Parts: sequence; C-alpha cells; structure tokens
Amino acid sequence: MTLQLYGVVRAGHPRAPRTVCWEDLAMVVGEPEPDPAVHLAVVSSLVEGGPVLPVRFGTVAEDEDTVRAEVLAPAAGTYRADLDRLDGLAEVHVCLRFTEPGSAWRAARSDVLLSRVAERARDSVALPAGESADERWAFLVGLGDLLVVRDTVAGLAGGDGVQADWLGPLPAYSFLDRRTCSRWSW
Amino acid sequence: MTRPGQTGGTLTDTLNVLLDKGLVIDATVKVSLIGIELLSIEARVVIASVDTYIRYLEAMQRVTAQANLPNPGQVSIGLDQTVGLIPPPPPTPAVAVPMESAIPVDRQ
Repeated sequence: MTLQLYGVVRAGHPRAPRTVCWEDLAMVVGEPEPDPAVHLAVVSSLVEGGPVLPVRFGTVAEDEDTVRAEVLAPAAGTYRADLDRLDGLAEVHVCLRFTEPGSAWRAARSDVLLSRVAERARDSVALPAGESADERWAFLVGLGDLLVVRDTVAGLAGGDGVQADWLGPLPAYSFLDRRTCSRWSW
Repeated sequence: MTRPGQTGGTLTDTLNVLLDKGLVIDATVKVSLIGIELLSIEARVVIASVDTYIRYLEAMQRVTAQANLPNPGQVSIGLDQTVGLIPPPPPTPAVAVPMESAIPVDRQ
C-alpha cells in the first residue's frame, strides 16, 4: 500500500496520528494526500508536540518496511542531529505589505518593524514575497516566542503605511540546511 | 495564532514557498517523489486547481502500477522524475493494434 510521507519525528511523538517507528525515530505517514494545504496542515500540527523534519510534499513509499529500511535507517544519524538542533523551535513567516511606495524606504523600515522578532530569532531568511505581500521573512524562533511574534505583528496592524500578517508555527522548512533542496539543486 | 488553512492569499504564497522544500529522500525504487515539479509550478497559478489534482493522482497511480511490475526501473528521483509528470503518452494499444493488422495486409 502506498504511504504518503509527512515528516521525521522522535518515536512517541504525542501529536502524530500514524507513524512508522524505527529505533528512536518515527516517520509520520498517511494515505496519499493530493492537497498540499492539507499536507502542510498535518506537518504544522506536529510542531508543538516536538521537532519535526518535514519531508518534501509528494514523497511516497511502498510500505512500512520500505520506510524503515530505505528512509529512516540510512540517514538516522543526521535525522537525530537535526531533531536535536530544532528541538523547541518553529518557523514562522511574517508578511509585510507596504501601502506606500519606495523600495529603499521599505527595506530600512522592515528592519525596524521586525526588530523585536529578529532579536529573539535563532535564524532568519528572506523568502520570495509572493503576490500577497511585499516582504516575506522566515524566522526560526522558540515556541515560547510565538507570542512575541503575534504581539509584534498585532502591534503593526493598522500602523502607518504597513499591513502585517504571520503564519505559524510551521516546521523548519527554511532552516533544514543542506538537505533543503530547491527545485533546481538536486 | 494564525494557522495554515485559515488564510487565503497568504497561505497560497506560503505553499508556493514551502512545497519546493523539505527532506528529499535518496532515490530508491520503492520511494518516489511524484508530482512536485508540475504541482509546484501550477501552484503558482492556482493552488486548488482540479487539473493539478487529477495529474497528481495520475502520476501517483502510475508509480503504484510501476511498483507492481517485475522491473520497476522507471521509477526514479531527480530531474528524470519530470518525465513522469508529462501528461500521459497516447495509449499505445490503440496505435499498435492497427499496425499489427496492417502488416499482414501489406504482405498479401
């Protein structure tokens, strides 16, 4: 039976609906899921229960034995190291839309606007903004700092010349480092 | 707290950013990465495209079918994977049958 792979977690993860365990690791699996929004919702729901290494959407395995033998076992060491590194952390996206023009002014301004989040974050990276925002930042923050993000964004709402939104907690997609692959860097 | 699934345009853009990312499992014949190339490209147009779903499901069915063959060598990960995402080739039986019947006719 074909299994959709969602992400690598520690065995015994409290939020995982269905897992395939191998030693101290577990792969969250499910029925083949064609909706990327559902996929993202599943992996995001895991974050608060413990670190999760999201598997790229669209990855399927033949059966549970395959997951153990060909996914978990070969890279167990790096999975463990990444789970430890990301323990207690989550990715959040903060989107800014400026209602006044001026790119140089924007860049200087976003640093100031998000300084409270940035100084708490372990890491940050600028993401493609997309159509719904002018700037999109990914921050790697502690789960306890999610409230700082929420309050900062709420404080910007209705402010002069800027609209802000945030999305999270997400798995640390943007901070998986060397095994994070863009579509062009296999 | 904002969660995936609650926002419209922001969620679409987030998916466009994140669908390209995540762990890529090393290629084996029993683990496949399907649909992502086509899906992520089309997701930039409309994330909830029915057409995208259909093609994704077709790709998934092909992989399942290939996995059941004695030699599932066609299943691969990498740039070659894009081959599996091209719309299905024209059904070969429809082409092959007339050709087989045409050969004896020519010989006669």
